[in-house]
Amino acid sequence: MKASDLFGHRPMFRSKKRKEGVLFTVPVILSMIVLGALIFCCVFAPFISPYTESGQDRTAIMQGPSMRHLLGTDRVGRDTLTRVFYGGRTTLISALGVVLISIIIGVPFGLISGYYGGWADTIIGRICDILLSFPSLLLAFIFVAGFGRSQLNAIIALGIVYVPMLTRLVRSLTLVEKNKTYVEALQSCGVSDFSIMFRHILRNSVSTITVQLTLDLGYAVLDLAALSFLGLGVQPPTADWGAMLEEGFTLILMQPMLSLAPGLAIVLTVIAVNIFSDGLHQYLEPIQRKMPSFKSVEARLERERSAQNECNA
Amino acid sequence: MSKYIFKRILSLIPIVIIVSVLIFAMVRITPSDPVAVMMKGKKITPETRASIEAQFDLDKSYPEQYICWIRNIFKGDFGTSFHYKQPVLSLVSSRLPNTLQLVMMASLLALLIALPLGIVCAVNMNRMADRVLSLLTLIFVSAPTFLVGILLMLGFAVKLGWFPVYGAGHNFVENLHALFLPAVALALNMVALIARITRSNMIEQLNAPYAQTAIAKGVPLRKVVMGHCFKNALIPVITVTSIQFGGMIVGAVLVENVFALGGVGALLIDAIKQADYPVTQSITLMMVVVFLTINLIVDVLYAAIDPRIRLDA
Amino acid sequence: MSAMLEIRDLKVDLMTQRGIVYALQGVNLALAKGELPGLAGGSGCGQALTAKAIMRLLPRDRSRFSGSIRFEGTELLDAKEKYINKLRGDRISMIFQDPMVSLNPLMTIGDQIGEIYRIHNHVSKAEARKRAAEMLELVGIPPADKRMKQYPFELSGGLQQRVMIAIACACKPELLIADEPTTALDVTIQAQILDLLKTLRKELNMSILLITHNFGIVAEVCDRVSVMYAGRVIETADTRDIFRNAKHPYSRALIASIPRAGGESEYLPTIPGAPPRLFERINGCAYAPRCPYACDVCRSSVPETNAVSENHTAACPVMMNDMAGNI
Repeated sequence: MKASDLFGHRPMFRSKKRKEGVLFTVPVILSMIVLGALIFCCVFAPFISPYTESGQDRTAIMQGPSMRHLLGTDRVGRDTLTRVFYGGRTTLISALGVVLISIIIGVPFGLISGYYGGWADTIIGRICDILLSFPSLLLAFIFVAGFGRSQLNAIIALGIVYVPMLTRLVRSLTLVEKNKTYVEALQSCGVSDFSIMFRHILRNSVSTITVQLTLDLGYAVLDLAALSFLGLGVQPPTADWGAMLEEGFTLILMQPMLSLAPGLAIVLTVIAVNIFSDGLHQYLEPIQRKMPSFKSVEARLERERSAQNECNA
Repeated sequence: MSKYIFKRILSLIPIVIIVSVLIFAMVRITPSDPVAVMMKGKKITPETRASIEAQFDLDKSYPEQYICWIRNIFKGDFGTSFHYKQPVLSLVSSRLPNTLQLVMMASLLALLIALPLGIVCAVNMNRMADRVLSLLTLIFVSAPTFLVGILLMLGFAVKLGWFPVYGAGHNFVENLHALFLPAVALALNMVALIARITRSNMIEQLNAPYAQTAIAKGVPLRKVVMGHCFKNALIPVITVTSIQFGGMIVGAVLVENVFALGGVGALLIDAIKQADYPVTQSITLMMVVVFLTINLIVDVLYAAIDPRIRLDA
Repeated sequence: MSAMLEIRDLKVDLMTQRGIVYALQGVNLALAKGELPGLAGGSGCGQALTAKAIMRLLPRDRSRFSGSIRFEGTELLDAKEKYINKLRGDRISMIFQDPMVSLNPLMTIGDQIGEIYRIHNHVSKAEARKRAAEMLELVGIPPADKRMKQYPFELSGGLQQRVMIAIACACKPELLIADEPTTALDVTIQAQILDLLKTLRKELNMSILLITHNFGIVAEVCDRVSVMYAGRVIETADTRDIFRNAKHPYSRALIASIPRAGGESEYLPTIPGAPPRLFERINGCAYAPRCPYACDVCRSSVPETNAVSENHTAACPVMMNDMAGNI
């Protein structure tokens, strides 16, 4: 028998039957639709748009929105909307990369730090202290200053910036889980530490970590855009929301759409991610969850009861 | 108390030393050639190159260069800029007042708006007012600082002409006007974050047993909120605010870029792009020290608020 | 005997994560001036909720109630918040189970006692301080001037509960509701706190509604007791009466499970099963599934509360029919 059969895991999303308050509220559904549409457009950009990422049309430069170019064109006649789609590819993949790097480094460090304690905890804690003594993006600035300005370096830099916070979160969750009886039971069964950490403790803390990661995804989009805007991230002519914003900013008085379009894309994405994360958080944190009204619950119970009766009849 | 502060300062010294080594190493790892950047790509003879390298200690080994930098810090000028050929300290100190005023105005604005906002949301949890305000804060958390800056500039400076489009004033009073839009742009993000954290902590405190005791004593709700719960909710709020203050140091870089304010942040970004090592290193180290000092002040503040935290223990 | 507090058919529904909980399903209770009745029952049977309903402490958006709570003839359930605020702390006070978390951790003890006096009597800070010092002396925490400046975390659990009592009694309330005031404390401290409550009751001439799950405490301090089970009062009697002649099987089981020194058996009798979770209104006696004497009547309709004798009522059809009581 596998040990995981013996020790029940707290499921990530508890079964809906026994719980009032829902995950899929109207804002959450809306945010998922927006995110889905954005991702769809970015992935299928070559099929949706008649233009290409860097296809220039010298006959139509600096145009405003029109039927031919829905969001206008830039100073070499590239279609803005198409570039927003392609920019989304760069930005979203980069953001995912940032979060992935922070997971790969942060989660094991947090688990080890919390589970073993002692000198491992001290060393990891000190490293985090050092990294956290840099205010927010400053560490990323320095990293990019050293390793050169490029998309990949921006991703690695931000990934590292996000590590200490995640490590601390995982560490504190591990500390809580470590003292529960099931861990003791697993240890007495001779289950390896590795397995306890990664298969049991991690699985029981996954809901809180997920909330944090979705939040991080939103921040990553913002921070990447900031780096690109300062010219420290993605370099033109690659399409990227931050870089496009920077390019458009110099021409803002002539054609505001050039910077507003990628800006709007950033805001929409991050809002959608944040609403989703917020919904998840409220769902998992009972105090702040909005309770349904007595009427709606009673009406639902009544419906269920009559449905039951019909089934029986 | 003073003994505690002294101890804390002592414990900061190793961190600052490690951070300085880290900064130095990261900056020097660069593949770019500072002499070439200094000469703006002009061809130079090996003799000229050697003399320039000697002038800026670039001919020495890395450990020696590090020692030189540290020596320059203790000498008080933080080294000489490659690009400006001036002591770093004078470069920074001429730009510091603007940046400082910008950050101060933004923090003040942020706290004045965010705290009442968070409290109102918490008291009216899940009612209409809370939902609308929560949505607003969500939007501002999701909007990149520089985009907010651009929009404010377009609206209030370009269209309405109420504020200067770019540049700072010449003295404190002029700056109150000139830096208003940049400060708002910088503050909005912080407002949103602090308001959200205030809201969730106030909700937690309003549900705490001692709040129930206060209500049972017949204390009116307004006094329960302000007299009892607010102080209890303050510590996490201060923590986030202090971290956000670090974020602001970096946010100022972005806003200075948008409004062409030529502050310390703009100097740093230019220095990174021009491989101006002394400026990059020194400004980064200064920002880290400022950030660490703020954290120290916050820890002392905790003890002032919460008698359970004993500093000398 | 005119009732100071009268609760009639109080029903409270709570909205929880798991669904609607029909927590109180018709509570009837009366309390006269100067009395010290107990409200006993297992945890989760609704005693604390009844107390919170009296104080109107239930969260508005997550609860609804019907029935009536009258205090000195005034209906409390639909009274204005302003009126309730005047009542709370001044005429009806409450102390809570866990003093550790029920005191504001960031406020000095003196301020916390003074606050209630200031709010209800509109006096100066100095006067409130004087009152706080008096109260500290009264509840037996000298030296007052030193204690006033201390924070809750500097005191032991027993002293914290004394502070809670000092706060609750600062305005000489007519009714003090004590919600398991000794549960979180050591046994030796428990007795001291109970003694203090008894003394204060005489000194301030107030009624005390003592909520407890411990029948031993009832025997020690209460004149009368109402036993609750699953959101209903199932038996009310004078303390002596109930120990001799409890009618409801649940009351009997509770009394039987009091640990006694030198008891004849070394095993403490327990009640099998657990109180029902009240996700629906129970049609019938809620205790029936655990009751050895339950019959069909118990399961089909809610038992009526009938008089056993003067000052003794019970809601159990089986026992009532068997008036000899010799099952």
